[in-house]
Order: sequence, then structure tokens, then C-alpha cells
Amino acid sequence: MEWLNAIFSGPFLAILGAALAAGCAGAGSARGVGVAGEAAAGVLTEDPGKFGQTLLLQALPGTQGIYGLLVAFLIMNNIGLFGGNVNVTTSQGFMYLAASLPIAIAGYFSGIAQGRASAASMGVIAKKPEELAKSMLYPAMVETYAVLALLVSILMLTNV
Amino acid sequence: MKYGEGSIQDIDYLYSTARLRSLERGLLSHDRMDRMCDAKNLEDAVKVLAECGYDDTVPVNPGQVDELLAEARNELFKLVESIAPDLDIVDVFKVKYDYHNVKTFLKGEHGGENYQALFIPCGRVPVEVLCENLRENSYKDFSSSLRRAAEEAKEVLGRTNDPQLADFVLDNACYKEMLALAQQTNSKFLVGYVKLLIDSANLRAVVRSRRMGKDADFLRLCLIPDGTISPAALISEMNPDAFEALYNSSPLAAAGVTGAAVLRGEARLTSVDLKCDDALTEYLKKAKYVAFGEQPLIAFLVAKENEFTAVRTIMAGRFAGLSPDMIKERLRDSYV
Repeated sequence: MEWLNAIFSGPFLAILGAALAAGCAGAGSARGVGVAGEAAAGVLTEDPGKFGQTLLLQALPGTQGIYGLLVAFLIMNNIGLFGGNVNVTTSQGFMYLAASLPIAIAGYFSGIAQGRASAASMGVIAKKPEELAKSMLYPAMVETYAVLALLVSILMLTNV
Repeated sequence: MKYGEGSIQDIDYLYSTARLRSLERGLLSHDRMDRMCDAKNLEDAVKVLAECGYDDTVPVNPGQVDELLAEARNELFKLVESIAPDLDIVDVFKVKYDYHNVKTFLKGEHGGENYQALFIPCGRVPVEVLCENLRENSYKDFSSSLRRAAEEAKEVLGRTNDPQLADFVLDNACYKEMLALAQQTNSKFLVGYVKLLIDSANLRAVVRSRRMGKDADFLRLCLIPDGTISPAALISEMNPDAFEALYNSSPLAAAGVTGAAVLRGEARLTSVDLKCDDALTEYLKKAKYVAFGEQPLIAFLVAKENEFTAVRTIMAGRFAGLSPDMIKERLRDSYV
């Protein structure tokens, strides 16, 4: 039962939390940026002059990955992983794991949703390039929920 | 792969939708059509066409316009096939050219006229192969529906000597195959479009036939059975008011009203065609509100084909010396 003890050890649970935060939010961003990138390529094929505008829209779903990375760093820093002396109880480990969930879950789904909204906005840019500011607002609204999740994850982490 | 079965999803259309949205800016809008009609001379009209991506060479006769449009049609199908994730959707729009080419071949052979220029090389079967198959009665490159229809049309033409009856056989089979292919793609939008196409073809056929004093037997031959309004109802409804009521809840309501007016002798026959085409364009406009999916691709393909018709109408009108207003009367609503 050594593996069971290893799983329920504080360090493992905390590192699992960091992995989920970076992994899930990163996966969401990767899909979102990919979806937006495909649409951007379509616009660029016909109108290479819109590179800057499409790049801006494509970058929007990339933030979730950064938020996930931030939370992962905070967890690793808090448990002393960089110093080489990890000292976390099982109960604390579970708390770190729980604190990573908001950004892991919201990051994954909001990344994909924001990618779709960005891709849809590419269609607006394709037809009406002067409406860039308005069309950016729609995917930017999705960002709210990634930011809220990041906030909750950070608040939880600082109080573990 | 079929749309909606997990293999092809709306996000597979990201690239094609974005690319087509860019190209939609170059479509012949109503404003551009008006400019072409009002242009002082042919050179100015061609300048508008050049804005839409056409060649800026000024045509000297309607034949050159047809050549220009044939080239543009080939380019359109090449483009759409290169970006469509599901080629079955494009096939739905290629089917009609196969049937058109079979009609052209049969009529040409029957009448002994030179018909080579009338082929449209955008079908699923290349024109040379199609002619060879028809000459040898082998049909090995035909779909089963096309084969059955070609055989029947040949037999009908040989027996009755009436090309119109052969046309009915081919038209019926064409719409049936279009619908069957559309249903295979699992795109509700495409199925809805083909059904509306069938309804509008039936509406035009009923109005035209009744104006020509044809009987119910004639209607039974030319009506297509797979639309939302059954041919039985269309054949039995002889009163213009009842005819109009049949279309009350359909997208063809306005065409139904005009059709009834034509039956009463209060409107011209061409106004029914115009209303039917406008209803089809109105249906396609739903695609404007779809962020990505097969709908924008279908709408673009049809919008472009409608554009070819509009260009031909305008240029033919200008060559014939018609006034701008007379040309504008003949133009349909535009997708953009």
C-alpha cells in the first residue's frame, strides 16, 4: 500500500493541483488559440493586410494558460518546491488541490469558449474591419470568468 | 465523413467560413448591381465587375460574357471544393449540371444540332465521360439515379419525340437526387434549402401550366413529389385564393400571393419567378448569423451562382440597349 500512501501524501496532492492548474487551463487555451488561429488563417488567405487584427483576436484565448501557470507557480512556491524542502501535510495538500480547481476547470472551458467567440469575431473582421473594437468585446467578455476563477484560486492559495 | 456525426463538426468549417466571409465583400451587392445598370457605358459597368474579382476585359458580345461566367463558375467550384471539409455538400450543387448535360446531349443528338457550347463542365461527371457513357449506353460513371433517369429520358424521347417529357423525367430525378444527397450530409439547413427549391419549382410549374391551360395530367408529370407542399394539393387547388392559402405559412408566402395574382390575370408570369428567387435568397440569409458551419459555405455557393445570373441579365440588357430601370426590374434580391 505504499503507492496509496504516496498518493495521499501532502506534496503529491499539492503538485497534482499545480499540474491541473497549468495543464487544464493550458489545454483550454491551446484549443481556443487553435480554433481562433484556423479562422485567422482563413481571413489572411484573402486579405493579408488584416494580420495585426486577427493576431489580436487569436491571442485573447491564450490568457487562461498564463493564469494556470501563475497558480501552478504559486502552489509550487508555497510548498517550497523550488527550495528543495517540501513540507506539506495531507490536509494542506488537499487544500492546494482544491484551490487549483477553479482555474483548472474555468480555464479549460473558458479557453475553448473564448476561442469560438474569437473565431466568430474573425468573421466580423473579415467583412467589417472597422468594427475591430466592438468585435473584440464579445470574446473579451468570456475572460471575466477566467479572471474570477483565477481570483478565487489565488485567494484560496494565500489562505492555505 | 458526414456533418454532425462526430466526424465533421461546425469547428471544421472555421477556415472555410472565415475565408468565405472575406470573399463575401467582393460579391455583387444590390448597390453594385445598380451601379452596373446606371453606368454610362460598358467600360464603367465592367469596372464594377472588376471590383468583384472578375476580369476587366470589356466584352464585345454576350457570348464573351458567357465565357467569362463559365470560367468564373469553374473557379468557384474549384475554390469551394478546396476548402469544404465535406465534399458531399458541394456535390448537391453539382448534381444539376450532370442532369443539364444529359438533357443537352439528348436534345442535341435528337435534334441534330451543334450543342457542344451548351454543356456546363461543373458536374460530377466530366462532360467527355458523360457523352461517352451516353453514346455507349454504358453509364458506368453515372450515379444510380442519374443512370435510371438518363435511360428513362432516352426511352421517353425515342418513344414520344417530345423533349419536354424527357426534361420532366430528368428534372424530377435531379431534385430527388439533390434531396437524397442533402439528407446524407445531415445538414438541416441544406435539406431545408433543397425542399424550398422543390417547392418553388412546383409553384412556378403550377402557375405557368395553368396560365397555359394545361390539365391535371400535365401537372402530374412535371410536379416534384418531395417538397413540403404535396403535388396532390397543388393539382387539386384550382381556385387562386385556395392556391394562395397553401403557401400562407411557407417562406414562399409572397410568391404564393403573386402566383395567385398571375392566375387571376393581375400580374406577370415573370414576377412569380422573381418572388420565388427572392424567397430562396431570404432563406440563405439565415447563414449570415451562423458564426461557422456549413451554412455560410452553402450560402456563398448559391449567392455566387445567383451573381452569375445577375451579371448575365445586366450585361445582356445593356447589349440589348434596355434602360437601367428595365434591367433593374429583372434583378433578384442579393445575398449581401
